Amino acid sequence: MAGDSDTPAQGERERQLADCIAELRDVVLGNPKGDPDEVAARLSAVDSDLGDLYIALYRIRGFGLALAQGDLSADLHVPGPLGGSLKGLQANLRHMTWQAEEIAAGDLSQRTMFLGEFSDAFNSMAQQLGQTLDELRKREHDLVEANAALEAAQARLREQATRDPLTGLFNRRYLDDRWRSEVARSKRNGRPLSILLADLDHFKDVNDRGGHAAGDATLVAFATLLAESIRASDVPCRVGGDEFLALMIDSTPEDAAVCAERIREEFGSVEIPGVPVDCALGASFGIAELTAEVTELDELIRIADRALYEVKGTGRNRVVIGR
Amino acid sequence: MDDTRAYAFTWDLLGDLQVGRPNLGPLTSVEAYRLMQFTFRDVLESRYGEAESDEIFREAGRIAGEHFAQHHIGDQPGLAHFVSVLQQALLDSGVGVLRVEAADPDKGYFQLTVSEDLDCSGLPELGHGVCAYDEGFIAALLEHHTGQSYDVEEVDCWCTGDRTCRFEARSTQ
Ligand SMILES: [Zn+2]
Repeated sequence: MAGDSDTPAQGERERQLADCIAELRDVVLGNPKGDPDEVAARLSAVDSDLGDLYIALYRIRGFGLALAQGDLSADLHVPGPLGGSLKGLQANLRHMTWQAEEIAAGDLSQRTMFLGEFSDAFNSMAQQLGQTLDELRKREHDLVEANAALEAAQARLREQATRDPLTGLFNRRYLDDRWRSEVARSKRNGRPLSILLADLDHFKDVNDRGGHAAGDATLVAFATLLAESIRASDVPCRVGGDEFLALMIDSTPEDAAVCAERIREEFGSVEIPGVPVDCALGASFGIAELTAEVTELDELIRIADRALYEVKGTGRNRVVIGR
Repeated sequence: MDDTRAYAFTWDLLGDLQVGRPNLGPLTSVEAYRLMQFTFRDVLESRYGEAESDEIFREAGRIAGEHFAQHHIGDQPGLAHFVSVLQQALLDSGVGVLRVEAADPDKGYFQLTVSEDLDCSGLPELGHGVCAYDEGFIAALLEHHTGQSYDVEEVDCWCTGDRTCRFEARSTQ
């Protein structure tokens, strides 16, 4: 009869245990249903440890799902290796997040060491990034250098485009540009502006008898003398085969004439290699002045030219101011 | 009074291990280390109570962190360098595996974890953190690097069942 009275109680117990197993299966292998505290209370009524176990599994499950979805902020207080290892993983992921942020902020020295294969991949990524960045920096440096070289070459070209290659004096193109700005400045400041036009005497004779080398040496010698005899602010130019012109800034025709006279005199005593000694090498000068009526460079050159031809017709090697 | 003290800490008190332990070398077992620590804890707790003995450990940890930083870390340019040198030094001396979880030096806040911690890893679950020494140690390290003073609290510990020790540090300024 004892067996009869045991049977309903045993049956009830088995039903309760089956219920507990179902809840535990759901929380580990499936989806838990209902309020976890209520489920835990029901399980505790069967066995006090079962309720605690259910809550622990429920929390670990939630924590694991959050981790899987990239939520690194969840908290878990469940003792033991299962919860502990998930928390360890969370700590690693948080640390790596911080490292990735450091890398993003430019620190490519970050290396991680706790995550096996993942660490290797992470580290080689950081290393690769570092190398790529170094390479980019080097290329940028090379580019900057190439750019500087290019700019220097361009400056040289610009310079060459404004200079006479033989004598290094400015050419006619530069003179035309400079003329406009100097006329404007002269008018603005009420300061005089003159041109000094020079033509070598007997240059053809030097070329014919001394050869082209002697001719070139003569041109260079005169150009050098001209450039050294005027002020740094003046503008010495070679405007034709043996024709030179200097813009004399802030100079009256008389100032220019004084300067021209000095050049003429000195040129007479310069020794030039290859030039036959009996060559009557010299220079004739014509001067012209910017006035209210005469403002075009060509006009001034015509005036100075006329004065210069006057010199040539009357024995050469002189300075005359054209009017 | 200070000149009456026999053990005001200096690094020299650790001795010359090359001379002193030519055969055994500079390492010892974690068991021996913990044997000393937890017997000290026993005596300190029974004389001064748990809170006071924790405070003693925390204070000692600060002294240790200060000297450890001077000897093994030095001045490092920037937090990242500091962290990587510190990580390596803690690994080399078998103290633990340090990870930075969050760092905001401007706001004076850090969150760090130490796993395989020398003091607590593998201990029975006691329901409370035991790493007061680490709290002081970490505070001194952060002070060394930032020049600000820090309060450090262990929020997770092996002994609370968390398997890794997590510390929150806040600047006291
Ligand atoms: Zn701990």
